[in-house]
Amino acid sequence: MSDTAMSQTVKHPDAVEHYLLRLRRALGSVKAESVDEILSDIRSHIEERVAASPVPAGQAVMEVLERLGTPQQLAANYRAEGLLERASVSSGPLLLLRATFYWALTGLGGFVALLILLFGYLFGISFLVTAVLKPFYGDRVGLWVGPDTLQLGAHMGSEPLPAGRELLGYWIIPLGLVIGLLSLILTTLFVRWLIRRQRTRWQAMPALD
Amino acid sequence: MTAKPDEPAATDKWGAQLRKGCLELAILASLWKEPLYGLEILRVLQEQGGMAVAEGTLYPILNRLRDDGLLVSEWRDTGAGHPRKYYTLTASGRTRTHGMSAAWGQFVGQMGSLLVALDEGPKTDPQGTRYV
Repeated sequence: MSDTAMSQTVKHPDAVEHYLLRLRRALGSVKAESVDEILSDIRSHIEERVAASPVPAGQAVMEVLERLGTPQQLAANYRAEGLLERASVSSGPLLLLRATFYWALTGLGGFVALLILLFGYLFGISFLVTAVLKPFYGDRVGLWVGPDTLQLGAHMGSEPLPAGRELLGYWIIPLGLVIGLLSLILTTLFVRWLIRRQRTRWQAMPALD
Repeated sequence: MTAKPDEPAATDKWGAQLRKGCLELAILASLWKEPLYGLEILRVLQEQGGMAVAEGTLYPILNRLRDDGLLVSEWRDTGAGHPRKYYTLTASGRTRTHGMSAAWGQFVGQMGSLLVALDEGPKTDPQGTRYV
């Protein structure tokens, strides 16, 4: 870097520092040492570009920041390579939830995926809970069907049992287990597939120039 | 069925997707001869590979390739006024690059034998009607 270029860069540090600060925020939950490293990489890249540019440093800074994309986009690229990479082969609910949660922050597609994931988990878990509760609260867990009722689940506490006939008896245990497990498995597979699909899209965005 | 008129836009889009798919191999290949820093990788991809890679795309991929153990990175002071981070292929990176390169070669060969048909032109049936 020539002395002039160097001193010019120093004159325009605000835009760069501001960009890096926003990037740090956008990276959010990425672990601290990785964030520091990412920021050094990007800072070094900006310095390199500005030094190599024939236009005045101020303009060069703006150009390189534009080519990098917004801090949110850049952070999403990093996350796409890191978190989604692992989540797309993992079945761990926490990792899937985290990956989908951060994906949801970046757009509507992620938000829909998060809703599907949460709904699928809740649906599955409530069937499992129903099955598990049956042996302990035999007469308060079941499927009631009556003229105006269709209720499935457990009625705890003092609330009255639904009007209608309880149909399933102890069949609710195997049924609840099968339906519960199936919806957990299908939700996991489906959201993993969504994440994989999204990851290939994020892997390379079209060049800006 | 009639042949559709040429659609340059659709062809461009397809070409962009094709390049995206090859990006990982292109990055690994750019490091085959010597360690490079980020901007040099971008230049090699652009000048030798004709690939204009978004800058916000390159660094996240480099990070992942390193986390996967295919690359190592090291800050070096090269007298440029500030240190540069050089990326070097590891042994498993070389193995992977070889594997991907072989798969690529096979793919190109197979596509090539399909595309030979374009030189030969459409077949005609015994009545002499062209199929296209």
